[in-house]
Amino acid sequence: MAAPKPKSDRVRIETDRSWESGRSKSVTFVVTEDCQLRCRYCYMVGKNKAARLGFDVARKAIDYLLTERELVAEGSVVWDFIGGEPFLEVGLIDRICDYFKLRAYELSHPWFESYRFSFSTNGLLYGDERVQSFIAKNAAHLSVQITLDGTRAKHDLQRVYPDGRGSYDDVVRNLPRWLEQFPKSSTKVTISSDDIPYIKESVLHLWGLGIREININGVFEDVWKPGDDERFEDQLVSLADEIIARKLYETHSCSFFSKSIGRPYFDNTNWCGAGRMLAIDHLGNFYPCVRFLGFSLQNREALTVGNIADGLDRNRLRPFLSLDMVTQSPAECVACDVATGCAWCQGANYDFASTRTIFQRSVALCKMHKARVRANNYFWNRLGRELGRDLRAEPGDGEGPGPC
Amino acid sequence: MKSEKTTKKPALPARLGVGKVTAAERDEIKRLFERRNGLLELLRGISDPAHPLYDRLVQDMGETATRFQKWWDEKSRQYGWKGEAGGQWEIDFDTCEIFLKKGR
Amino acid sequence: MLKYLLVVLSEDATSFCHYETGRRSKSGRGLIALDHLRAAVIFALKHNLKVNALYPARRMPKAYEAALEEVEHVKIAPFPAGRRHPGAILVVEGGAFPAGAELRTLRDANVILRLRRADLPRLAVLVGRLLPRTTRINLVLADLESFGPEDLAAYGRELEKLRRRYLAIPPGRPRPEISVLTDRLALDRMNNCEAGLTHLTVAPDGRLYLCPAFYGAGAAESLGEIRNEIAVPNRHLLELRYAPICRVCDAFQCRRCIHLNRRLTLEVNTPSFQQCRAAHAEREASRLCLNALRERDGAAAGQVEIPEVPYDDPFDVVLKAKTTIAEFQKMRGSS
Repeated sequence: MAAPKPKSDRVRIETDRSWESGRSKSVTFVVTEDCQLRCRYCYMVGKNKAARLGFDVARKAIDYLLTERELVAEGSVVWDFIGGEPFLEVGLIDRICDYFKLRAYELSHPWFESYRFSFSTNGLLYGDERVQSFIAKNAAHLSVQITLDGTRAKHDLQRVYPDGRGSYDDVVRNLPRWLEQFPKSSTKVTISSDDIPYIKESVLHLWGLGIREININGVFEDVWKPGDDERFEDQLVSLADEIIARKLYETHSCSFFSKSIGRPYFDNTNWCGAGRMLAIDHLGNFYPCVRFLGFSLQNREALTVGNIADGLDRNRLRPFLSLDMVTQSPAECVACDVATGCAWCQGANYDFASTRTIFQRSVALCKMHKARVRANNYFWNRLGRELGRDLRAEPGDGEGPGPC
Repeated sequence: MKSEKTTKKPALPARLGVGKVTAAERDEIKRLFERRNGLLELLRGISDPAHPLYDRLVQDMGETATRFQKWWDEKSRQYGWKGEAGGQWEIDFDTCEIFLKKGR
Repeated sequence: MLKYLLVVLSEDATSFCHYETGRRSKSGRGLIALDHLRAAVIFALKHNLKVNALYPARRMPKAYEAALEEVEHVKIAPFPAGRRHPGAILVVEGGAFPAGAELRTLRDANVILRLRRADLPRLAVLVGRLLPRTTRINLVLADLESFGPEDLAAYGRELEKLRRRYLAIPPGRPRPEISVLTDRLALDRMNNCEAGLTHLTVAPDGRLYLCPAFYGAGAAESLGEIRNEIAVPNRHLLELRYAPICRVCDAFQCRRCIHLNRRLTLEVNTPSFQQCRAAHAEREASRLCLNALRERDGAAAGQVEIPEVPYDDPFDVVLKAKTTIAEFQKMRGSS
């Protein structure tokens, strides 16, 4: 007798496509290097109160980017505001955004019809009147992600005030309003070695709070201890069982489980956008991404690719734009049977390489990736049996030609 | 991304797929949608009629709103989409599908 | 595999490439210690290496000359020291180009002509003056890193003039090699500097470097003292296969100068637009030269192909399409 067909055929575990993915220029303003928190796993090791972006620097950067159409030819833009904690400078951000809108309109720039303002915030100031006023003013163009790291135990393990207190309660207080204003929001969860025991519970907890899309990444620093990969795998397998049992795959997503990971490489693309995106510091220096600023690096000096006075340095951009997977990867990685989805960070690679280069990929996450692949296979195979389909053979969201 | 259409029909589900447009047509309405939002939000920062851009902005908003509505009117006629009194059409920018959202 | 050892005999030894001398020392003069020179010679003997010795204009102590005589070597000296070193490769500076009488001391010479931006308008003329007295002219744009698009265009125009001069050499008269024009006519694969792969440099401080230019960049660039096992960190990044732009390029005569790469793009495996466009201007001159020679001499002109291409910078090719994994894996491994 054939298995009965499930009522819902919906499998939503993959994350949604991001806005203008691959077609927009991402420009990050580092508005401050200060933050109310001192998250233990944060790669921004040099937080300080001194480095604050001034409006004049931002204005010059916008003017440059709006007029440099040879090197900046994308049809859309995402203005990303980062810190430290960006909402510490919401007044400045408001001025910057107003300026961009005005200039783009004056110049009849294509970006006026295709832009977003994006924020990744610790959430502590989300309810602040000035932040809410900014949100109301720019609602149709905003993407705001609050970082809630999971259960209180997990969140407060890492995301602490300078005196060591956890910040969970202060963040969660702002969650209902955030979800009401941005119902399709996602959160970013970071995993370090100590977080592993809390993973499953944290994903379920966040979903229970109403955050349906969760993006989870391991830190890129080499913090992993022997046995972490096994513990990690156990957590993910247990989570997979729960997701399937409660049919959570129909309505929720978690970046751990993706159809496209765990296969041999089929193309040579460098998946990281460093160099295509741009980060701008308080001095008006351009960086390939925020991970190349001095306060993000432990071992290397900052790597700039230009500045507001001289513009983009096309020579310094060349390595980033020609960087591919094979040139930076050990032969073992190129030949790996489960390679896809194994992540790296260009900035972390640069920081930890044995010479001053972006062409040496860190493999600190290798075992963790393989553990994830095994759990991912488990999930899709189990779910496929439940639904009576070979789900691994179907393209995932974002794969294959678009539907239009 | 919405428009109105008045037609007497039997009760429909809350959201009903009524058709699809081409990618080029989708791009057209998407641009107008983005432009309309951009103009609205720009205007929130320029409230003083004495501002040099104010008149241009107001005129632009009117023209954009007209083009926006015109798109819905033309496509709905061209494709013959189902409508209902108080209902509104919506477009999914990812799939190019048109939905009729039931009016309250 | 190492084949050569460059030995920089003093802080003010002649440059033969894109770098300037005397950067590391206040006086800009200091000789390499004799012990270090002897250690370099012994190293060369033990590892089957030929030595290229870079000389200053002034006379070297006899003990130094004697030490070098122990190993097969080539001298590279500035033009004014040419008489002292018969058979040496002489470096001629465009900004101090020898007068006619001085030039007459040259006969069947192998010279390196270092030119700067300011010398560009005279490029074809200066090379022309050297042609009758040389078997080979190696042209180096010493300050290529300062070239902008207009300078590169001017370089292209000068190469065109040079091409015409070269083709105007009557049949039966000797045709010297001109690196930037004729090398490509004989190449079917990359022929690059290969610093760090086929040669290393012993600098005046007695330590090893990828090339003399890296010595100029500072002590942090040193590979350490002369010893049997030398580790070049991330050595694979010096290989062609690990250079995403170069591996799709057929401007085979390009030097692929890793010093220029590091200075301009911060990566040893990534060339600047200056280096790529200069190499492609040379490639184009070679292509037109080859066409003209084929019209005149037929198959005797050579078997290489230099197809016309719609770009002047192979970076544009890489932007559109990356090397595939299969293509990469087919490429040859290290030197």
